[in-house]
Amino acid sequence: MSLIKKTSQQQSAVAEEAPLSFREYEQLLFSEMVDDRRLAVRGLAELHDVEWLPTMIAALKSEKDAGVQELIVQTLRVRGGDAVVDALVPFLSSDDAHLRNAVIDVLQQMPSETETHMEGLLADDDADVRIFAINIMASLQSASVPHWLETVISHDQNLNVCMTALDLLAETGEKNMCASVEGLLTRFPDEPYVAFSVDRVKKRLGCDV
Amino acid sequence: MKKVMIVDDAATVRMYHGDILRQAGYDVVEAFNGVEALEKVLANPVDLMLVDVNMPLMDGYSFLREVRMHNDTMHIPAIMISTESEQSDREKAYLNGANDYMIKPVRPDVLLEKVRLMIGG
Repeated sequence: MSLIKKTSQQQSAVAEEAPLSFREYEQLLFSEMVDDRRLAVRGLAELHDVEWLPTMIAALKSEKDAGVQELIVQTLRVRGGDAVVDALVPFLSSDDAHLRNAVIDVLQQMPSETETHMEGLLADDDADVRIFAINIMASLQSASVPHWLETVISHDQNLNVCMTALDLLAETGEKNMCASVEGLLTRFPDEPYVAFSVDRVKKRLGCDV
Repeated sequence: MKKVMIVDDAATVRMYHGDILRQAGYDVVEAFNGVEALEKVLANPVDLMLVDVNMPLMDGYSFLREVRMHNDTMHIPAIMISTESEQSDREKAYLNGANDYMIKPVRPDVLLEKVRLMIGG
């Protein structure tokens, strides 16, 4: 099928008539026109005999349009599997808040594949990535979640990471974690937010009963 | 009574900021993310918004951009409160419509000073 060039930046360079080849979609995926890129994502997703994941991930790295980002991420979610999660996890370090959110949303929907990354994410040098890992953890059904959270509040040096973990621990924790929760008052003394959060979680876990 | 909206996905943060503001005599509205906050503020405009950055469904930057596009809400002052402490994060907040930027965790006296400077009360 031939490429039909249009003059307007708003219009697609390709008429939606028949499926294109992998190479043609790949070219469109990096087109200046948003409609072309959308078409390419949808088209690639229909190709079942070609490995398009690396191409789609490369496009996601450079994609600035929130709608196309979301389309790519959702297409990857539908494809599923460990390779998709492996490819998406690095985007948690992106400076693009919208993209990060889209990735977190998809990783939350792929709990079993994401679970294997959790310990690595919780050890990441970037505190924000560790916070996102805890946000993702909220949707995992893993029996390891309370243990991971307790480890975070006992050892992570970043107050905000600990407070994010404590927030989730309020929902998933158990009474035998009270000592770790109280330990935060020693690790972060004179912090009103820590005192407030610890008090709240102790009440939730029944620590003083 | 001046009304402040707290937009944050962390329940403890909403409670902590909410307690500080209520004790100082402010009315408080809470929202879990940008989508819920946008619905609430468009229905009932507030005097000030405290906005987190990273939230599900709609992040803080996107929320502020939306708020700044509506006549009824475009002038509502907003303080972005985030864990992100880089200068570039601060600049990004201002570019997206924040009037001030604070790094978590905030101390009650500092938060109240900023709120009073912006809306009195």
